[in-house]
Amino acid sequence: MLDKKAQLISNFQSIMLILEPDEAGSDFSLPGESICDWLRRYEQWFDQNCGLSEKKRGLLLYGRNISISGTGLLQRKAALKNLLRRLTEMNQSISLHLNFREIYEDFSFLEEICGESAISSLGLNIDGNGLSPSAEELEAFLQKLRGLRRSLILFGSMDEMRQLKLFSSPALNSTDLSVSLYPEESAEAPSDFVRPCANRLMLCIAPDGKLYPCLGLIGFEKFALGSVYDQDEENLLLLENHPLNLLRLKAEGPSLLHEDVIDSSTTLPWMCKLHRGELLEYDELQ
Amino acid sequence: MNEHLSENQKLLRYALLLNMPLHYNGLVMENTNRCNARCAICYQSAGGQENNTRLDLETAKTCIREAAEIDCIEPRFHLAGGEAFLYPEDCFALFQTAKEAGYTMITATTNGFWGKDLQKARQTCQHLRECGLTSMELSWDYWHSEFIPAAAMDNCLLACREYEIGTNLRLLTTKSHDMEEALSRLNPEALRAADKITSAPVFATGRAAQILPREDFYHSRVGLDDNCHSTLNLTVNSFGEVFPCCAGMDTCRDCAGGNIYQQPISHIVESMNADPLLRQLVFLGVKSFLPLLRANGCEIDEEKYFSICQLCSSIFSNPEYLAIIQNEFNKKRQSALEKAVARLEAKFLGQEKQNDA
Repeated sequence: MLDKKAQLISNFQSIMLILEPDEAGSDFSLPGESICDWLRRYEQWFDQNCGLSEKKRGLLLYGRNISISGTGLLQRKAALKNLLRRLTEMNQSISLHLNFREIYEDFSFLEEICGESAISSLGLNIDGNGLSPSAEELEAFLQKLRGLRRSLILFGSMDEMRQLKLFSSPALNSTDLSVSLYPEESAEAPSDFVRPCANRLMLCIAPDGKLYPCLGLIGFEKFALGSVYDQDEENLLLLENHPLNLLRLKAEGPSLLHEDVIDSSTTLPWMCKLHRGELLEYDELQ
Repeated sequence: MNEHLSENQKLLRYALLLNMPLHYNGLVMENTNRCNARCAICYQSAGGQENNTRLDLETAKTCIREAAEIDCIEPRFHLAGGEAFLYPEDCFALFQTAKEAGYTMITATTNGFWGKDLQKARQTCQHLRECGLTSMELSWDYWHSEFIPAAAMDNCLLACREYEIGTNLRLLTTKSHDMEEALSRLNPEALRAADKITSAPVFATGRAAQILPREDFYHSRVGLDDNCHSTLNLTVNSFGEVFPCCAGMDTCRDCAGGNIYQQPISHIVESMNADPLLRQLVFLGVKSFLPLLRANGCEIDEEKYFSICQLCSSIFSNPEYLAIIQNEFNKKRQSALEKAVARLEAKFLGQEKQNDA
C-alpha cells in the first residue's frame, strides 16, 4: 500500500487552476509568471516525492494534468496564449475550460492555441449561451471543433443542450463525448448524501494564488495548503498538519454534526454545502 | 512502429515501455456473461443461451480484497456483465466487500431492467447505497430500448437521484441512431436527474460486426496510432480470467494474463507487468504488431478498422495471428535467455582463468 503522504499526493496529481482577469488589463490576477514559477518548484517537489526513482511511486506519474478554468479567460488572450505556451514547454498536459459562446464567436483563437500548445481536452460550458444558430451553422462549427481532435467535455443543463440540438449533431455523434450535466436540484436533502471525498479532492489554485485541497473549500484560508507565492521548498504543500483530516475525508467524507446548517451560496453537492455551512457557522476543526 | 508518430513520440513510447509500471484505473469484474437483452451492438455478443457463466462469489470477494492492496490499481471497483443485476444478491455482496476493502469509487453498469417498478427501484437503490455504490452507469440507446422499457430507465434515474447515487447514461451511436433518438424516449423529468452522459460510436466488434451494416459505423477520431497504457482497467471476466482492459480484450480468452481460480490476483498482476507482449501492446500500441503480421503473410487492411480497440480484439481473438505473435515473443525470450547464459558463462570462465593464472 502507498504510505499516507503518497495516498494524499495521488489526489494532487491533477491541478485545477482558476483564473480571472486582473484589473490592470493585461494579465490574470494570478500572473502567468508566478504560476509557472510555482509549478517548476511543484514539479521538483513532486519528483522528489514520487519520481520514477522512488520505488512504486512511479505510478503517481499517471493521470497528471493541469486544468484551466475561470471567467473571462478570453478577455486576456495574449496572457492565456503565453501561459499555455509555457505550460506546454514544461511538458504539462492541459485541459482548457471555456465558454461555448465565446468559442463559437471566435473559433480562430481556439484553433491557434490548439495548434501551439498541449491541450489534451476541451471543456465547453453551454449554460446561458443565448445562441440560436441554424442547424447548418451549428453543425459546421461542431465539425470544426471535432477536427481539433481533442477530448470534448460539455457542461450545462440537459434542457439547454437539447434546445441547441447538440445530441443530433453528426459531429458529436461520431466522436467520444463526455457531458457533465447540471442536475436539477432536489428541494430537500437526499436521505443519504455523505460519501467519500476521494473524487473531489484535488489541488485547486484560486485566483489569489491560494492552494486548496478541494473546490468546496475555496475561500476558507485556514484550510489552504499554501500559496503559489510561498517560497518554502520543503513544505510546498502543508499536508502533514492540515487542520482537516484529509485522509479521512478522502475515505469516508465529512462527519457532519450540524446537518441543519447549509451554505446555499454554492451549486456544490449537498454534502459539500452542508460541510461548508458547518465550517462557516461553527468554525469547527475535525 | 507507427509511421505517423513524431520521433519524440516514438522515443517517449520506448521510454515508457522500458520503465513505466502498468497502471490500472480500477478493478472491473464481470460477474456473469448472461444477459436478458440481446442487443445488436454488444461487443461481448451477450444474451445467448450458451456458455453462460457466473463468478463464484467467495472467489470474487477474495479477489476484490486482494486487489485493494495492489498499488498499481486505483481504488475504483466497477461491476459489469453480461447483466450483473440478474444476480442482485451477488451485486450487494460484492459492493459491500469493495466498500469494506477501502475502494473509494464503487460503480456498476446495468441495463436498468430492475427499474420497471419505481417503488422497487427505490428499494434497490437504497440497498445499493448502503452497500457503498457511488455511481451507476446506465446503458441506454436505440438497441437496448428493444429489450428494456424506457420507463424502467426513467425509474432508475429518479431512484438513483433520490439516494445520491451518481448516474452516467452510457449511449452508443451509429450514423442511423443518434444520441437524441435515445434520449427522446426517456421522460424529460427523469433525464434532468442524470449527472452525466458519455457517448461513443459503436465498436465494430462482437455481434455488432456481424449484424450492423458496415457503412453505418463511424470511424474513430483517434485513428490507429494511439496507445492505451493510461486507459487500462484490470478486468476479471465471468470465467475468472484476467485481462488488462474491458474494451474488447476481455473477450480474447486465449490472451488471459491468468485466472483467479488458479492464482492470487497479485501474482497475475505481477506477471502481466513483466510480459513483453502486453507491454508492447499497451505502450507502443496495437499497430506496432502489424509489420510482424504482414511479414508473416497476414493481409490486414487498416481501412477496415475503426479504432484501436477493434483492431486489438480482432488480432488477439484470431488464433493464426496470435500464434505468430506468441511464437515471435517466445523466440525473443529464448534468444534473450541464451545471451544471458552466454554472458554469465563468459564471466564465470573469465574468472576461472584469472584464478588459474
